[in-house]
Amino acid sequence: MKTENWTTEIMESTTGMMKMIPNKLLFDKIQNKINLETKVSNKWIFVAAATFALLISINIKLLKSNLVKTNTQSETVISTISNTNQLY
Amino acid sequence: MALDNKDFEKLYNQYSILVYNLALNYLQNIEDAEEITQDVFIQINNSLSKFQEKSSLKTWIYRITINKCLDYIKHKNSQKRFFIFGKKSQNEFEINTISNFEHPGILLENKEKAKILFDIINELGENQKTVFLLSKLDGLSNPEIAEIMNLSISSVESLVFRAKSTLKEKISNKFEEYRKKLN
Repeated sequence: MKTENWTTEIMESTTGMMKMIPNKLLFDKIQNKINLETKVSNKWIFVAAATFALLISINIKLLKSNLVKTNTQSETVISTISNTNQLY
Repeated sequence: MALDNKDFEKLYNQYSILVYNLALNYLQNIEDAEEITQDVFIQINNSLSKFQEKSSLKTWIYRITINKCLDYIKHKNSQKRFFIFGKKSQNEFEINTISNFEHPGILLENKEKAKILFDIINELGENQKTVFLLSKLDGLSNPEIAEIMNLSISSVESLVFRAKSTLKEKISNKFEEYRKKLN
């Protein structure tokens, strides 16, 4: 019986609960966050675009230099082969 | 496309109490509830243009708030785990303050008992907890809850029933503990 009463008391402990009004400054905080978010996002978009462009240009440069290297390497290999493997 | 300031303020005045109180019921902490309220209204501002009016605006706001609260709880729990198994440094203070019971809506004389109730509510599964909070504390009807949670009315009914019986069982188990404390 005691357990039942106690259980009911606990279950009913939220009766009369009041609706709370949020802090008046909360709206300003939200607006500041929204403004900040738009500012930051533009900045980050620019940074991301610049980084992307830089990465692409580095990749292109590296690819070009690699191509030149492999061309010269293959030429030297061919020339050595033709010199050493002369049948006649 | 975001809302203009006047419309946004109107929307905030209309729904801030709903969002804030629902967050308070989920998290039982003023700071956490304020953080959720901020996040919810920022998301509303950013994605109102994507709102397809398949449900009412109120239902949509309820869904956003519930999802934010559940994500926040998951994040907090993972932080707790990190604090327990990870470094023990200046973060120790945060571990202790992470779950402070602070629900300003509850009458002072009921505070101790309500804390026991909320501790047990927090042990319920996500769906049972949501259904119980919406039905018992927000006073929503089963069809309204069903719409918010995208469930059938009968599923909501059974969730409410299960939540209540689990709570009653766990509360009566706690009675012995409570009696020992008194003696």
